[in-house]
Amino acid sequence: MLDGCNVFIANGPIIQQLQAPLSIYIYQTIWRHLIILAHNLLIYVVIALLYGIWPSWQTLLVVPGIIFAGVNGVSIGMLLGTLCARFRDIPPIVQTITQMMFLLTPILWRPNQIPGRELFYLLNPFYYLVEIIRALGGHGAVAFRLDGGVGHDGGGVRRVALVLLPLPQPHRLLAMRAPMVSVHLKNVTVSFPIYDTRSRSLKRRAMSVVTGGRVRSDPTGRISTDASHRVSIRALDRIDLAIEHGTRIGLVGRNGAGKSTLLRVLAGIYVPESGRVEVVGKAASLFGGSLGIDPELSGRENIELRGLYLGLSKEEIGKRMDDVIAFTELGPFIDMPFRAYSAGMRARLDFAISTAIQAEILLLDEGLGAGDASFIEKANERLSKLAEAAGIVVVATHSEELLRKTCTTAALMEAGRMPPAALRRCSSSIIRPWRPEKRPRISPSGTWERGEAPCGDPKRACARYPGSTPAARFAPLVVGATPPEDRASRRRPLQAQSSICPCHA
Amino acid sequence: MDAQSNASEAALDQARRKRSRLVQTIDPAFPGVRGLRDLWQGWRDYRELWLTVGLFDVRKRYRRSVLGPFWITISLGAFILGLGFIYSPLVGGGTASFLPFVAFGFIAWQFIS
Repeated sequence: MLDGCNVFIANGPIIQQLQAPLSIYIYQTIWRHLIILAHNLLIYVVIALLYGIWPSWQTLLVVPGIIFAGVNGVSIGMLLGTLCARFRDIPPIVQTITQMMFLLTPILWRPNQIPGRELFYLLNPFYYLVEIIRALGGHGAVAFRLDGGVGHDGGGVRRVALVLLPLPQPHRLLAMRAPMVSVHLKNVTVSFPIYDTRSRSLKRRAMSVVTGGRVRSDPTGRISTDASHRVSIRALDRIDLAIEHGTRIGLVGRNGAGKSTLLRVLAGIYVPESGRVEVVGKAASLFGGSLGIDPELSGRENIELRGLYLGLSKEEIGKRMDDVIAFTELGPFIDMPFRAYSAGMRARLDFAISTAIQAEILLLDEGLGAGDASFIEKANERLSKLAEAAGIVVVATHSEELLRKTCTTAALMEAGRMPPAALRRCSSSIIRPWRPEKRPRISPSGTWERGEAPCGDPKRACARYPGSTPAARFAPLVVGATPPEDRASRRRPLQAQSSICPCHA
Repeated sequence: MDAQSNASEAALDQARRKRSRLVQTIDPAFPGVRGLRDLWQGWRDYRELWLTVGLFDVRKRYRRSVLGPFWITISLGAFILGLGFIYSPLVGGGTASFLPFVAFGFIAWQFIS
């Protein structure tokens, strides 16, 4: 119960990186407790031997009892996990109640010791849960009368059998030879509600002091507050995009422009609030970071863990293990705990396992590729091989070099939007905006063509949003066309130099 | 042999193909149905993942200790023994019946709480 409460909070970082049903975290928690229970049962065996208690048929009742409690745990975990993640007052409430219930439940005392107050335990749901398991060894007071545990026998046995059956694995990300893949986003909007009452009220108070009671207007229009003062940030705003087979698109834009959010939408991690996403093909996301990395485990175990998170079966991981280890060049370090690794070694392991699978749709977020020079070279080589074999590549990057090397198209994101005009061909690309007829062109100098700028004259600031700058001040998105002698200037950051006015949609 | 494996791979490809279309939009299903779907998918497709991660969870907590996860057993055992001996006169009925009662009750409690 206590763990069920924290199940989504504790797994938050993983949830944000993995497209998977949320129930797996609950199953995982219950399974962990089953393992602990198995260890604890040894105590009972010892005590039973000490006092000469022999098992009887009735002892078998403990199996449906535990299964019953486990199934209960799934529903409790679903309910409490969700509530606790949303309302952070609930974990301490649950903790307090659990502590109290421990004393109120007949564990340290027998039910028959409080004559006249039977309601204390008869109305206590924990009593029955404890009692069902306590039936083992005949210590339960009412275990025989409870048909709850027995009633679940059939389903329970089937469930146990399921664990033992060979596991049908989804092969979610395995290589396929050049099938046609495509990505279609239509009018996709993603918002994140920000549940943080304190900072919000503080901020509001500070703001009302500073602005003399006026609510500061948000020039980007991305932060909205609904009637119940719930703040939400629009991370993606009506994105229309069609990516067809053979396109390698680079997302550029300043921090917070929505690049990573878009990648996560494509990976299926975030479900759009409105609009529709259709992805044909297996997407593999290399978001870097620490998905499934546990510093206490050895490199080898971490490879296994990450492989499982990436959707491989244990058998497939076993097949690739040697290749992955060879690629990391970690040698004997592979069996050492991950925490003993240097930053470069960590990056090697991370990269090697993440790129061990061939994706049809490769989603890359910057942050991959550290390590020494030779490894970077090797990694780049591998990455470009992966990219070549993939049907679609989407890279979020600030590196012009990466963009130039891997991408056919560059797309500039700005404040959660991707105006059709932000698409820029790197070479012959197949990317097209959803409504091609509305697409203004960007002149070679990177400024808007006259008359096509979103809010009138590109030389003037937008009248509706006086704080913003005209869209004309995009840095030129010249990709792959820069002459080689111009290397120094290529170091210039690619993202837009200022925030553009939001009325260009 | 080779042709056969190729054919089976092609069949596998087809199977994967069927499941590889991901359409994401707000699920129009009733929320309860969505939840059940989530539970079922987690059970069907990700069992190997959570079985392993759960095991690693337990294992890593006792990594580098000599007895490993058996510390779970020992710490609880010590607690129950102490409790059983001190409380049995209070509760009555003798250690022989009270100790197993406490042991089981407490083990069960640990599992559900």
